[in-house]
Amino acid sequence: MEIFLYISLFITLYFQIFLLVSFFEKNKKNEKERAAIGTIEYLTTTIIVPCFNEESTVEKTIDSLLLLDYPKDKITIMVIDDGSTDTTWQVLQKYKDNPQISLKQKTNEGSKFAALNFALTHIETELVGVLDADSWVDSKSLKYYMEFFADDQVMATIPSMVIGRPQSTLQKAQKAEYDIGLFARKAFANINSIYITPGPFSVFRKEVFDTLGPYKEAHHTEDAEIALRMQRHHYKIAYSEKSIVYTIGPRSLRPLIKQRVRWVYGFIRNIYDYRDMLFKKKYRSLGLIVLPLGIFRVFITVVLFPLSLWLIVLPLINWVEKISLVGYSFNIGTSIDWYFVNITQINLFAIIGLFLSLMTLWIGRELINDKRKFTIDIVYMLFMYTFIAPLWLIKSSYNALLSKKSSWR
Amino acid sequence: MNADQKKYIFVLMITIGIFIIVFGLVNFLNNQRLESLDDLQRKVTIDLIANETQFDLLKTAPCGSIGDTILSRELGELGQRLDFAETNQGTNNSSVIQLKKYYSLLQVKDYLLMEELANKCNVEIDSILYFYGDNCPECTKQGYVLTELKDRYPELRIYSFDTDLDFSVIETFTSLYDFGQIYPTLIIGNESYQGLQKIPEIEELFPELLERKKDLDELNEITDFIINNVNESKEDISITKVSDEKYTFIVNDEYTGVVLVDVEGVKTLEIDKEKSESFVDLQE
Repeated sequence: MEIFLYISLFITLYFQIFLLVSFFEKNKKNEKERAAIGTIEYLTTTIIVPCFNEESTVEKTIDSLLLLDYPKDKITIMVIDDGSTDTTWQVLQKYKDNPQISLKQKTNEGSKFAALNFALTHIETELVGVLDADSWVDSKSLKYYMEFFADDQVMATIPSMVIGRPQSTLQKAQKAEYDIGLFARKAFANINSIYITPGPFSVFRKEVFDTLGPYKEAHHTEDAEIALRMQRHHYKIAYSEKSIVYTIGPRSLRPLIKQRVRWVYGFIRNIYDYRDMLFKKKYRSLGLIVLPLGIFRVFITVVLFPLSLWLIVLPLINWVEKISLVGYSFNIGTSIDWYFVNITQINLFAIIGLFLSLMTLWIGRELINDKRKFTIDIVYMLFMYTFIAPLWLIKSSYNALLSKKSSWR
Repeated sequence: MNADQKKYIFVLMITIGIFIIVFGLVNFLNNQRLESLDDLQRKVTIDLIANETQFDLLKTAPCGSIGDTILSRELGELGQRLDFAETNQGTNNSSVIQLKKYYSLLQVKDYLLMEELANKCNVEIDSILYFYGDNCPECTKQGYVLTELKDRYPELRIYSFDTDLDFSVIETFTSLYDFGQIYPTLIIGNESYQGLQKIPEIEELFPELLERKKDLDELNEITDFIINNVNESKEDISITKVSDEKYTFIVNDEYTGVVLVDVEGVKTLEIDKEKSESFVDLQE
C-alpha cells in the first residue's frame, strides 16, 4: 500500500516538475518572430455565441464583443439561440438592427456542438471563434490573437480564462484554480501540447473545420475533441496569455460537480477515443507524457482520496476517543519539544505540494498581471481540492468506466 | 539523444533528487530521535545503578531517597518518547524493539529496587504494573488513561510491559502474576484488574494520592488568593497550613500574614503589620 502511494507521488511530482521545466523553456524563436511583426494584420473574424436560456447574461457577452478593439468591418457576431425556452430571443431583439450582429434561431438538439455546426455553415470569414454566453472578453483580447495568427502554422489560439466577479466561496476557489491553470496552459503551449480549446473565446482558422470537418458530439465536450483532432493532424494551437476572457463559475456545489463531471468524463472518453495518440513518439510530449499522466492523475486521485481521508480521520477518531476518556486538558507547553514534532515523508511531500501550488498560482497571476497574488481564495481552493474535487473525479471515472452519459447542463 | 529525451531525463533526475532528499531527511531525523533516546536511556541506567550500588554499600536502604521521584519521572519520559518513536517508525523497526526491551528491563529493575526499599523502610509506594498486547484496542485507551494519571500524580509509578515483545524478562515477570492472556491487565498492590480501568476507578485504589492531591489543590488556591491580594510573585511566598481554617504565610522573608477560611469557604487575608515591621528592624 505504502509503495503504491510513493509511486503515485513520484509520478505526480514528475509531472509537476515537467510542467515547470516546460514553462521556463524559452520559446525564443516564436517570441522573436512575434516581435518582428510591425503592423498587425486584422483577419476577418466571426464569433459564434451559442445560447440556451441565457437571458440574464447574454447581453453582457454581446456588449463586450461590440467593445472589442478591432476593425468593425472585420468582425461579425453570430448569436445562435439554441431553442431557448426563456426570454433569450426577446432580449436578443435589441441587437437586430446592428449590422455587426446576425441573430439566428434553431431548435434545440440537446448538445452545443449542433448549434456550433449550424453556425459554421453560415460562416465565410478567415477566423471563427466561440464565446459562451456566460463569458465576456477584454477589449484587447482579439487584437493580441493576431500576433499569433501572423504565424501560418498557428491554426487556433486560446485565451487566458479568468473567473469573473467571483462572489460565492466556491467561485473564489475556482478563481484560484483557474489562475493556477494558466500556468499549466502556458507550459502546455510551450511544448505544443494544448489538448483543449475551451468554449470561452477559442478562435480557429476557418480551414480547420474545412479540412478536419465540423464539431462532433464528443461526449458533450466538443471543445476537447476538436483540440485532440487538431493535435492528431499536427495543427498548432497557440496560447495568448494577454488575451483575457472572463467566465462565470458555478455558484454552488451541485452545478459545479455537474460541470466537472461532464469535463472529466469527456476528457477520459475523448482520450479513449484518441488512444492511438498515447505513447506515440510522433506526438512528442503530448502523447508521451501530458495525456497519459492526465488520465493517470484522474484515477490516482480516486484512489488517493479515500487514503488521505483515512489519514486525516484516523487521528481525529483517536483524539476524540482520548478526550472522551480523560477529558480535555489545556497543558500545551510554551516551548516546542522538537522530539515530538512528527516529520514524515508524507508531511514533507505535502509541504512540497503546497509550495508548488503557491508557486504556480503566483506565476499564473503574473501572466495576467494580477497584482494580488496570495489571497484567501487559495485556502478555499485547497479545501475544494481536498474535499470536493475527489467527488467529481470519482463520479466521472465511475461514469466513464460504465460509459454512462452525462448531460451537458 | 534528442532535446525531448534530454528533458525527460533531466526532469527524472530532479524528481529522484527530491525523493532522495525527502527520504534521507526523514531517515536522518529518525536516527537523531533514536540517538537521543539512547542517551536518555543511558542516563537512566546510570541513575538506577547508582541507586542500587548505594543500596548495596550501605547494606540498608537509604530511606530518604524514596521520595525522590526524579528517576521515576525520567523513566516516564523515556517511555513517552519511546512510544512516540514506535508509532512514528513502526513497531517492526529493530532499533526501536531493542530500545523497548532495554526499557522494559530498566522498569523491572526500578520496580524491584522500589519494592525492596519499601519493605526495608516500611513505607508504601504507589505503583501500577501494566501489561498490554498488540491488536488490543482497549489497550490504546488504557494507555491514554495511564498517561493522564501520570500527569496528574507524578509520584505514581507506572510500569508498562508489552507482552508481545518476545522478551524472556517480561515472560518471567508475567508468570509471577497468573492472569491469563487477557489485556489490558493492571496489577495494583498484588491485585489484578483486567479490562479497561477508567480514571475514577484507579483513583479509588489510591486514597492517599487523592488526599495529597486535594491538599495540593487547596494550597494552590490559597496561594492564588494571596497573590491576588499582595502583588508578589509565587516564588516569594511560602505557606504553612495551621488548620483547615487557618494558613500562615511569609512573603520574601519580609512580612507575614494569615489567611482565614470560614465554613462557607470565604477567605479573608490579614497582613501582620507588627511582624513585618520587626522583619524590617531585623534587617537593619
